[in-house]
Amino acid sequence: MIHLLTALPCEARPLIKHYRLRPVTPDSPLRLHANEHLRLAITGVGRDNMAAAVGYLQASGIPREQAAWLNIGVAGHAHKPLGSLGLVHKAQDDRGSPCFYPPLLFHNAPEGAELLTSHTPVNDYPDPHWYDMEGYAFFSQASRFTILELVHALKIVSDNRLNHSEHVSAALVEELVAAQLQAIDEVLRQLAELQQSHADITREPAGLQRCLQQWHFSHYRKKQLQGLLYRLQAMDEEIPWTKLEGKKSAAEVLATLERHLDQVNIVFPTPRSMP
Amino acid sequence: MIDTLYVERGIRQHSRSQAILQRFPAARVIEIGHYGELFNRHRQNFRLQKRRPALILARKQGRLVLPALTEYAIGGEHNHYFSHMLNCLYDCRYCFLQGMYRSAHYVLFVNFEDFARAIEQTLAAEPDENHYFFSGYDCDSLALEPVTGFVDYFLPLFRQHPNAWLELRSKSTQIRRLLESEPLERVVVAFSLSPENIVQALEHKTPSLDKRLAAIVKLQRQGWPIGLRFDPLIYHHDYQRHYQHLFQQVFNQVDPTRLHSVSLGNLRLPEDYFKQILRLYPDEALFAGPLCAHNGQVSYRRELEQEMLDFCMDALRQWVREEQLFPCQ
Repeated sequence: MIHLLTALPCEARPLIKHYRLRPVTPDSPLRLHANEHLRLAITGVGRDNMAAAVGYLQASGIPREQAAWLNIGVAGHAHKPLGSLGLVHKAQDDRGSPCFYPPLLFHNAPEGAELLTSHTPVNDYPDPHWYDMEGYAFFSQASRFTILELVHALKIVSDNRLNHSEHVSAALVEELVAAQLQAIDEVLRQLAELQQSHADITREPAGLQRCLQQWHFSHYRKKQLQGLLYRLQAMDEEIPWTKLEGKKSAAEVLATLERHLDQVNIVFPTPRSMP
Repeated sequence: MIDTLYVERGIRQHSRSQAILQRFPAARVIEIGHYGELFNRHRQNFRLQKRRPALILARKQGRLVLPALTEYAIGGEHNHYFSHMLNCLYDCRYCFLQGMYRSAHYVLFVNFEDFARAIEQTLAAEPDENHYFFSGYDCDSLALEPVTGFVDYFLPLFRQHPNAWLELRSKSTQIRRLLESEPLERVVVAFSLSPENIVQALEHKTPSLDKRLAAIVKLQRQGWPIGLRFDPLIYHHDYQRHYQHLFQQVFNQVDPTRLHSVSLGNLRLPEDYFKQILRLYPDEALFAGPLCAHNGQVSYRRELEQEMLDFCMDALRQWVREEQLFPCQ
């Protein structure tokens, strides 16, 4: 699952249409739209709204799943043309809080953006930053719930020194976001791939739930069991269920698995060049 | 190869930083205050980052030269190490760096001049003693040589001081700058070697065994002192056949009489690092082996360690003199 967050409805509309997202839970405190892979929340403007939305999405998400997070929204910049897309590579706020540096693992990533989140609108756009009102809160909250590699933000320039923010209309924002859907697609695709890789790393070993249902394991012994099942998996070994039949306690199960593992050879394939 | 560079504000104008920035004109350059802001941050995934590590240019502060463990000694009494880099271009599954650092980004400390000063102060403190410096603890000494210019800078320094020894520890074939330089008997180029099946299974992104041997042969012919490091020894089915074959491959090409030293070491990981690495690679066959924790270290069972060490020492004695052999236990 990827959580998409936009501050404004006009930022969300092209995404809702493109990804065919349907409204969910009409009584929710947030406006949410979703499909099988994406959940989009319209958070409202400002840090507090963003922070609250991240917390809500996390709390109402699938337990134990580490979702990926993407903030998409408009920003101001001194001289970048309207519609320019930036992937945030540094996020800071105007209170001097520690910066975020989202690890950049994307191929052919969009241009980098140094984001400064301000609590009031910025009209003179001092270089080199991109200015918004939510991005930093997004990073600081979402990174509590998953690894930094899975938290990113895309910003699209909606105003600059020649086109001030008071002239930005909802229609213009919709148009600017819609124009970047192809690039957004690509970032989402790669983000989903990263999330899958992370899920693969953290996936519990095969057979764990079956063992837990069959025998009672204390927390400590569950960890031991998990370790042994990972070892079996690493050695491409099946779980020896027949040897486990009739075992009465977790201790007996662990001892049986240990003995089984002791008999398995660790093999690293022999290269063809070796006689 | 490197498409993102983080640069500490304080060393951006350093000539070495400027040269590196020019080397990667298409890279995205991000200014930072201190490398720890991103390198030490919690909730990073080393395994995912290893897919596309960035290069961080930073200034090393604090103690730049530190005492080295005596078990890694290769004949000297005064052993020190210094790290001009953190992390490695390669991705060896047994490497402790995966468990020690939260980030897989490479940190390059560009203030070589401060390292040189610290080395000279160390030498001056006991000028009548030989001092051994190891540069490959937290990185591969040579792997990023074309970018770092480490050899270019530090060789002349060690040439100047007759009581200063340097070990360059590497799996790399980046030896061009060494081949272009006059060999120095106090600079030992030490290559880590493993059987080819271990190279293929566990030493990801490293040069093949054949390429490392070719590099060793070139350096040895030119007169550079060579060290061979069979470290860590990796247990697996039929390990004796694989190590025996490795030693034969090595000594078919390398002249044992002209070797500076040969050392062997067991797989040892601090328990905390091991747990962290296991979280990153629960599916790794290496960690499914007969490992156990003892006194805060994870290693093979004591009797198995001894068996492997004895076997390899005996095998190596066919080619290597006793005084050249250094088992790390």
